[in-house]
Amino acid sequence: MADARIGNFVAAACVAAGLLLASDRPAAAQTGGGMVTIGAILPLSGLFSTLGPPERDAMQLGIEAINSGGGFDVAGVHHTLGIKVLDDESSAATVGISAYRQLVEVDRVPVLILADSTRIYAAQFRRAPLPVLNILDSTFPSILDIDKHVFLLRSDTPAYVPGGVWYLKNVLHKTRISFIGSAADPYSAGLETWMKKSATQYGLEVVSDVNYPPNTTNFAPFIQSAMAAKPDAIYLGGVTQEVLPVAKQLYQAGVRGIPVLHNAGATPTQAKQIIGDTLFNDVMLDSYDFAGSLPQTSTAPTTQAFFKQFQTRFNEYPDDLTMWAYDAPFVLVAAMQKAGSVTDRDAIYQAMLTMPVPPHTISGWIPTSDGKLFHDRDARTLAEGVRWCPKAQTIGAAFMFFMQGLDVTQQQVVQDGCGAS
Amino acid sequence: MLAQTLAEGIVLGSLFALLGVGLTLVFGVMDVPNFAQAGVITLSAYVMLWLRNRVGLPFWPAIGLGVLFAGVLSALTERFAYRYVRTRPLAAPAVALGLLLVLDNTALLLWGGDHVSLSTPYESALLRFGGVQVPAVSAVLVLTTAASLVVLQLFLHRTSVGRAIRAVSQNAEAAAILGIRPQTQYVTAFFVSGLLAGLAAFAYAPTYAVFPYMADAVLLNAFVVVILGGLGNVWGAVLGGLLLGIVETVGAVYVSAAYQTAFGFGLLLLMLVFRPTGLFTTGTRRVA
Repeated sequence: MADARIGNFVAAACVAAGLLLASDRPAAAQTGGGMVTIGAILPLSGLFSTLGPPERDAMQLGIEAINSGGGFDVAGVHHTLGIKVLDDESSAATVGISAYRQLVEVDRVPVLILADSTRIYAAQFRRAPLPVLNILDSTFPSILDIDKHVFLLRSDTPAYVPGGVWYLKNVLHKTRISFIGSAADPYSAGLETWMKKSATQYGLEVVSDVNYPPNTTNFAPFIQSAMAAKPDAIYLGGVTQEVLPVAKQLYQAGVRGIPVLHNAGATPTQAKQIIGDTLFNDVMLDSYDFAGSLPQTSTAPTTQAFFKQFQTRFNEYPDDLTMWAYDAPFVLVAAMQKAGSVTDRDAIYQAMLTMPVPPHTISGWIPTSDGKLFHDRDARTLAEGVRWCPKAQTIGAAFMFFMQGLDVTQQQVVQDGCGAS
Repeated sequence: MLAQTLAEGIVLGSLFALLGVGLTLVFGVMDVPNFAQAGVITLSAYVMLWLRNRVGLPFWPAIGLGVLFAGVLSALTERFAYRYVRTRPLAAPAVALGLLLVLDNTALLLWGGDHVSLSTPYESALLRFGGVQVPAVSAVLVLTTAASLVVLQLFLHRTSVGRAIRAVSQNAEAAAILGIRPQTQYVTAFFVSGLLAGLAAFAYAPTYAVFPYMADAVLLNAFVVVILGGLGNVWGAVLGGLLLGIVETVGAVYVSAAYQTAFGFGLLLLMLVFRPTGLFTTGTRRVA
């Protein structure tokens, strides 16, 4: 009797575990007429939900700017731009695949914008190829290896991780790194790989390397392992929602005064929300965040205008991802104009390979020597390290750089990034 | 280092135990694997946040009302869902899963998918016991579990309501003949289980974050605890929770961090093979 009850209980638990991983939701309504509708799949809910909503909002701002400027002409025909955004619920393998089929095979969008988990869609790319513009997925091995139709509208992992390690060694004068990352997150795995390569190149020692399993919420054992190696710097792998809780628990475990370096691109809004309003300023004091260049610290007037517009409208700090997301519609419109078609996926793909930096973009794209936007399908900007400014409770520039392999070819250490803060 | 590891194992185990006791209480009384407990924890945490940040209540009143909300919500799940499948035990897991999805998605609909912190007045404090350091939020988790279990034990053994719950769990028909209304005890058991869920929300949320699926994964560990301890056995759930927490933590620190969860489920497999009734089998006596 007891065995049967246990059997039923275990079976029910297994079914629960399976069902918890799979759920679905209906798609939004489609637009039509003179409007060209592009597709996007974003994590609007779930683990990566700090990423999706601001990207959606920034893309919407970009589209509004295009349409309020009168739309665009392709091969003599006038169009306006629309976007259909579907939520993958941070579960690309289930919800995301359904969304892909909806947008690509049912709605027949000419181009698609993706954010994370691009590798999951590899079979779909082969089955129904179209130009895919990714605005987030900087992992290693690069997503550009998955399929020739994938373009990356941000600098890839090797473009910013080494700069952080270089900064640790040459500016903060640290030599012993403990890495804490997420075993289930390919972004974290890519950061770990390039952090180790960079440490070897620049003469730092990785004294501890721990990866916690999926769904971990108590990081104490991993923090203990990391600190037992007596590091003088901590490197955290993962996205904002993974990194900030670990940073908080590091602080709560008494780890203070040691630089905590990461590549989350966390905004002050996210820091306050995830860490909590009473603790975030103290936790972030030791934080150094190395990612793309930020609209907040940019001196370009158009970028500053975007920063103010986004902050005013959404009451949130725009990060590098939002800046790239804002530019994505401009890139796709320019590609369609160069291709002379709003429906021919292959022509648009060919146009993207050779297109120049489009007008009205704000990210500061650095073109190839022959003037193309994409360097082997990767659009690149300067990378930037930011530090925390406790008085203003915000981020300030610490290091601007550009990488060629593991060589820092451009560098500017910013001493007064916090100003009077 | 070993002492620190054991301390962290006790912290993790305390969370598992607190969750497991609520599950085992309901299972002991109604044979229901209450997956919806995770949804109750989540909504309770959101209510605490809402009372704190939107209504502007001080911390402790917000927590108290949040815990009470969890008890009421849990009782409502019995009244409007589980009651109708009490005599159909095979349907109970499906209802429980459906309820969990409804509760989690209610949180998603009302508050969105972002991770949000439930800040406490003590979250930067660090306690030191010799060479062992314990963050105050972790210490509060252990103390909450300990206090809850003592109160629960007193409630079940020293009050007429508690004794009635135990009587119904052992033999509902016999209890009814003696004048105890089983239906009342079912609702009461769910209410008490909900209060434990609310306390879990209060103790657990500040250690990580509040989000719509915050308790789903950890609740699966709690089910492991229930099986380890013996279905329906409160002290078995406590011991199972501590055992699971210590095994996972020691495994993560000394063997491999990436396989932390695997150590726990490995322990479960061993238990199912060698002692399938759990550490403390209750036989005919349940909610012991």
